[in-house]
Amino acid sequence: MCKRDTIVLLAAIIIALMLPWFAYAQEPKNTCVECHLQLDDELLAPAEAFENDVHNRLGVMCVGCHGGDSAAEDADDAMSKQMGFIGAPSPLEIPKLCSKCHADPVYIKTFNPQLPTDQYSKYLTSMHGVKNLKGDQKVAQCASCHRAHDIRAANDPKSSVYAINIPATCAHCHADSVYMAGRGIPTNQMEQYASSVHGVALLEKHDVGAPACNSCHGNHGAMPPGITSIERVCGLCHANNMTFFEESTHFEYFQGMNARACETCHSNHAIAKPSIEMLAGEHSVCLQCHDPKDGTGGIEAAMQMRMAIDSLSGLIDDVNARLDDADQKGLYVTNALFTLKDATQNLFEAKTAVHILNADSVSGITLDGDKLAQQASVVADGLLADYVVRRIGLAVSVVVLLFLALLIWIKVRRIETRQKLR
Amino acid sequence: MNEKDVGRRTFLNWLIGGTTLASLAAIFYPAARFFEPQEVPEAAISSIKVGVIEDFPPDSGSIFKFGRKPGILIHTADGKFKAFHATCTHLSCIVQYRKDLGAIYCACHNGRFNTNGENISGPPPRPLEEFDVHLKGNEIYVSVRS
Amino acid sequence: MDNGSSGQRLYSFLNERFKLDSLVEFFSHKTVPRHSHSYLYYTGGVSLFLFMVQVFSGILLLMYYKGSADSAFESVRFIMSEVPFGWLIRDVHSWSANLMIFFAFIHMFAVFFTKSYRFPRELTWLSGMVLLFLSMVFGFSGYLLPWNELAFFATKVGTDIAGALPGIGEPILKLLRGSEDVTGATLSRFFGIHVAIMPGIFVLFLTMHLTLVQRLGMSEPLHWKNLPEDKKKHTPFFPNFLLRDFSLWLIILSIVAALSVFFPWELGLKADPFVSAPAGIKPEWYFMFVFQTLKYIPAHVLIMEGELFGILMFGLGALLWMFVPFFDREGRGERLSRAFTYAGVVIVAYIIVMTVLGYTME
Repeated sequence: MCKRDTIVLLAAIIIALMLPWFAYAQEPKNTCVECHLQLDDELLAPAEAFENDVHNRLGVMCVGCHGGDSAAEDADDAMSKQMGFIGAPSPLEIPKLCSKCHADPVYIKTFNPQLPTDQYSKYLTSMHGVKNLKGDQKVAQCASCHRAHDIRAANDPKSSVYAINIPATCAHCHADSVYMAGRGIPTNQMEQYASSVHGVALLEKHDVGAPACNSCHGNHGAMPPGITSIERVCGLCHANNMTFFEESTHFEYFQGMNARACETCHSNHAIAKPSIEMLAGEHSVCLQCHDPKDGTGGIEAAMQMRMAIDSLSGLIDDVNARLDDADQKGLYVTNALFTLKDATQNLFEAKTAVHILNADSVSGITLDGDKLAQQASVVADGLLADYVVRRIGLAVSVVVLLFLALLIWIKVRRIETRQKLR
Repeated sequence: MNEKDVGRRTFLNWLIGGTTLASLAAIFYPAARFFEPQEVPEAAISSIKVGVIEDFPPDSGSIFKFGRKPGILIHTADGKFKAFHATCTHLSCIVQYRKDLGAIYCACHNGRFNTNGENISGPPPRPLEEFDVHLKGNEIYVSVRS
Repeated sequence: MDNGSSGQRLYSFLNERFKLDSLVEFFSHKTVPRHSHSYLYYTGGVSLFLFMVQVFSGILLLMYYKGSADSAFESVRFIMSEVPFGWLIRDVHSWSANLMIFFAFIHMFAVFFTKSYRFPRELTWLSGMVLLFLSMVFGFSGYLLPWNELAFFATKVGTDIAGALPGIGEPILKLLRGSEDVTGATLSRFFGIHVAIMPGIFVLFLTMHLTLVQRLGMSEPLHWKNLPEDKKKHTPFFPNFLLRDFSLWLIILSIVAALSVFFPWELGLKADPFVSAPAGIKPEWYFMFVFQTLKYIPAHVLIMEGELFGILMFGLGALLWMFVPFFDREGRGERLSRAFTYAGVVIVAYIIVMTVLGYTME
């Protein structure tokens, strides 16, 4: 080998030996997590939790929020003020800290163009934001709901802000009467919500279409809906009820009285399945304002509506009971039940139309429903009559068959008598 | 055999003949009625004719009965016919087509589906189940998705 | 010819073309022994009548039944709810099926305990056993046809047991099911078996059985062996015995009709292969004693699996039972061999006890 070849060979060997070092140097170092994993309790927890954090997966590490040097092996070097280390931020500092990135549309767009960047500005409009700015350390800030180190996307079922988990997250403070002492707001909302129609739907049946706290109160700009906007908020799902109510006579009266639309009759958190008792009778919600002798005719109208609905509902129940009976007797009821479904749909429409607060509108609908229920009733009657007809038919046929059997037997006897004589 | 016996025998034979006819009627009447062609000829529905094109203007929808289930036939604004099961995937209310929205709408909780049956707004968690639609001449046939 | 009544003229016409005279001669002399247990002679006729009811009601059901997985259930529902008297035809078919198998068992045990299987009636016994077996295949295949939940799982369990046989078990299971699992292919297959294959084979063996019965006449009871001829009482087959048969058949028909009205059959839920089996799946009552016995056998007997052991035991038992006319030599000599009678009593008791346990033990 000549000299030139030897030099090239040596250089190649040296480079080859250095390659691992290059490779090692390319890997981003996160000494924060490496060290903290060796510690205990509150210093260990963040490092463990961070494994599941969405920021971790996107390459935003500890230093992204806390500052410092994630490549430094030495603790003092890693957590040095010169490198921007701020330690654990206080509750008052957190909103501004998070908004450094999350209110920057240009930066966030590089990760997820769909992610909103208005959370901070909304937060400042909320009661939490207002108080936080004034120095209240106990009030909710970003980390209170989203947590600090294992932050997950809102559509991740394990996230503290996933629809089904939201009530528990809000209740963490809002249901704690000791924590909320002196603030002048109730702490029974969670209890009331959990027993409500929406609470049962979301928390027990896991219907994520059902509203959680943020659906009505907003999430970052969390405030109770304004008095005038309550029916619009409920109307996001209960559109017909809202439209009917806005068209009704009560709408302007409620606005004039500053009354809280839907909430007045249905309550805000403990929303139960509406019953006919709410409409008329001694538990009527109308009695909050109305009196039978107040001259508005309100109580009378409510009574009329209740009677129309009750009569249809009673008719449907009656047909159902007769179909049940027929079913027990072995008759085939599926077709009749199908017809009855239309009547039930109609009843549902009538109950929604109550919000027009006009007796004639409701009666108009129930009249149609009555006709449908009648049709189903006729079918039910037919089935039950069939039951009797079958038994009569059987009795007649059996009598004929057994009579013939008897006659034949007599015939045979006579034949045998003759045969013996012969 | 005396006359009385002959008389009795004839009477008995006639009685047996008559009762035999009655028995045969009791057996064959139900069979004959069973055999008659029925008004509703078939049991399981796999395909039905919904109507003619002229009855369904563009940008409209209407409910039809598919066997025991409700269906909705849409004639989109750009001229396509589509059909879906009309049962909302949230809490099973019956949906409707809203011309003003250009979408399928569920009145119960303000759920919305686009003209592909996909859930686009409100509580419904899944799209509507789709039917196949065939046009034969000007007749519209809806059948179970194959 | 204008001599004789219209009946006689008709007979004359047919006789010249069918050569009926010798047949009529034979039948007019045929007699049936009359003794304290003659009533047992009717059990065969009742089974035959119920088979005829099955054919009649089955053909009617074929007018509306659809044998594919997506319309079978709906077609039965249609028959039950929309077709006039559809409920009656279906319930008659279901009840008559069970009664036919019941009376076939009664008939078999009646023949067994009177030793009517002895020479020269061994083949009648064999063909009868085949008919009983075929009836149970009719029952098993027909049970699946409504394609409801119970039937689906009962079929799954039943065919699983067939699959337990070593070597041939897997191929047999696949052959029965038309695929690995119980699917629409199984339904099609069972439908074809139930309405075409089974009727064909059944009628073949039925013809053989009836021909033998007619040619050999009714078996005389054992105690007649030592009786003088003039003490043996007979009754003409035609018209006496036959008319009595018809009379009884009318009563049976009334019972079937009453059962159909007062105890209608349910349809239940449509079969869904993805739903787990409901608790307490049972086979039909005529398989229950086998099913229950298999439950009591330990998981392993000697070197083989308990279930397999049970099946083999039953198979062996069935074979022995089937060839009993050839084992029971004493019977041939018209003597009562008590051993076989006792064995028969034990077997009947066993079947009854196992069937009852199957329904009461949960």
